Amino acid sequence: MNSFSDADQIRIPYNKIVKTINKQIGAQGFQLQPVEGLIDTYSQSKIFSIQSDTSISGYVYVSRVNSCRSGGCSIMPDDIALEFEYFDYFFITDSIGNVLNVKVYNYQATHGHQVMSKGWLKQFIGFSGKQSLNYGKDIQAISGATISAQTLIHDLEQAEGLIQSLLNN
Amino acid sequence: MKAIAYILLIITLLHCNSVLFSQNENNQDFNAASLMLSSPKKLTVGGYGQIDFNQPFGDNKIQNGKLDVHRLVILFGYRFNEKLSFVSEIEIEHVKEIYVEQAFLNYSVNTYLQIRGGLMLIPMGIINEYHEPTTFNGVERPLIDKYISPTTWREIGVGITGSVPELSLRYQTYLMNGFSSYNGSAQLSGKNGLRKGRQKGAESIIRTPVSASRIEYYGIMGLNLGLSVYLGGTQSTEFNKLNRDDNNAMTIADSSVVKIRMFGFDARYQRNGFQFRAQTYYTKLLNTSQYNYFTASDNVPNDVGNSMYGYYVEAGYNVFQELAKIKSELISFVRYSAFNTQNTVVSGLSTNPAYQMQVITAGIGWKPISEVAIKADIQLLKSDQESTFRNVFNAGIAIWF
Repeated sequence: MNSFSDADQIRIPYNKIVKTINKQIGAQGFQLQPVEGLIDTYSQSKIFSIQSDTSISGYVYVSRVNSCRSGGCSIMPDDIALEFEYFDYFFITDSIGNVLNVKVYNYQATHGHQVMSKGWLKQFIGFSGKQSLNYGKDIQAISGATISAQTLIHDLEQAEGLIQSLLNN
Repeated sequence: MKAIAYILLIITLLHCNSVLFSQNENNQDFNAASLMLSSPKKLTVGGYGQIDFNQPFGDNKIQNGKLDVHRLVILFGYRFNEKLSFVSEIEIEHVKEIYVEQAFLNYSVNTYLQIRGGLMLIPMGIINEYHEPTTFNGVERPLIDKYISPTTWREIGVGITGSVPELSLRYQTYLMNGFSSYNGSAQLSGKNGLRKGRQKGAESIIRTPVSASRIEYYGIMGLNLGLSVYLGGTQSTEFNKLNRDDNNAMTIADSSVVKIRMFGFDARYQRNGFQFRAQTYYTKLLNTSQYNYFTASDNVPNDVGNSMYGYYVEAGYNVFQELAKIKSELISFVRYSAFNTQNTVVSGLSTNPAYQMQVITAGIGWKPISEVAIKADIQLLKSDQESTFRNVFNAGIAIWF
């Protein structure tokens, strides 16, 4: 989860998120309520709860992660100083934090486009953050997108950890 | 006199101080390098390298091995803003040869469209773009990516690239400079194919650009398919300052170029620790008869064929796949490769069996982390001219950061 200047703020794809929630949860007339206090204010990442009347029917996490290009990249997602190429993605969970859908919606890197593959992203469905994901074993490796895939896994694991801590509290 | 000197010194110091102060007040007074370094968030430094050991063996003759810092590449990337970025790679080969491998400006409209221009990699096959040594099996790159697709193949050009996620497609299409076929002497040959004709953006000459395109499909999990097409003619110094009305001279100059149609198809698949790769190239060359006679040496025509081909198939497996506690990878692999830089020749030219090669490579690579690989393999090489295979043991250290 990386930080950016105001000029580089991540764009939240509300239309796509709403469409996905409708499809995955079937929720109507809900509100996306930002969850404050979980993520540092300087971070690009954001968590929303899906508020339907008085209950929470799920969570949405939106984030920007490091990617890579041929010949040089950083696989240190926590090192904000090395941000150069990136992609934006979001995932939706049910009310107990199980991943229902992952989408990459803005790819701004020269390599690693294969992480946008719907088939590959489906592997995260059901992930709840209760176990770690091992690239190449729990999650299938991708030719040509090793770094993008690993950074996505890393970010998604961290985000699930936050959602679980929210649920436990 | 001393007093005047002191006054001058004080004035100078005051002047320096005011200059420094104005620099601190206004960042525009910093030079480009200091601005770049003071904005670490937008600057990235990366690199890759490979240090190789090659030892021929199995012959009655004593053969020296070779230890070589084969390549060390440093990348500098700078993001001016969310849309505009610059990418460069500076390569040092064999410790002493310095090249600029990439240097291009990229304007990103959105996921679907990016516009770029500068010194770029030709999008041909797997290895030319994914050439970092930790990304392929074996110490050395596959030989078809030396003799058929001359990696690292780069020229100056402009074009567009992007992804269509809904279709799981990525595309690239560029207008670029082509090979040099004649620069006072022949640059192409049967032995080296097109390799010596790369201009690499170094005071390169151009008369007619070429087109280079590639499309990739990644819609099936673990599978990546690629199709590359390169079309265009070579460049030649023979046309320089030629009178357009001088038909005779134009005809002679026309003999110094060839037309190239290169096609590449590749497939990569990974699943449950297994990994498979296949790559094939086919290159059609036109006007080679005229070119071979134009570049004859001591009345012996050159030997450029009018088609070339190369392919390999490779299978690998992560031996540690089933060991849940081990996160490192130990990849064992085997690859069969064949290529010919003189697949067909024009009538009157006989093929050289030395250019028809078979290569079998088998080895292992241990990756303690994904950015480091320790590799070892054995290569068996045989041309149609030879009755038995030659053997080479290779070992190497590969890094990428």
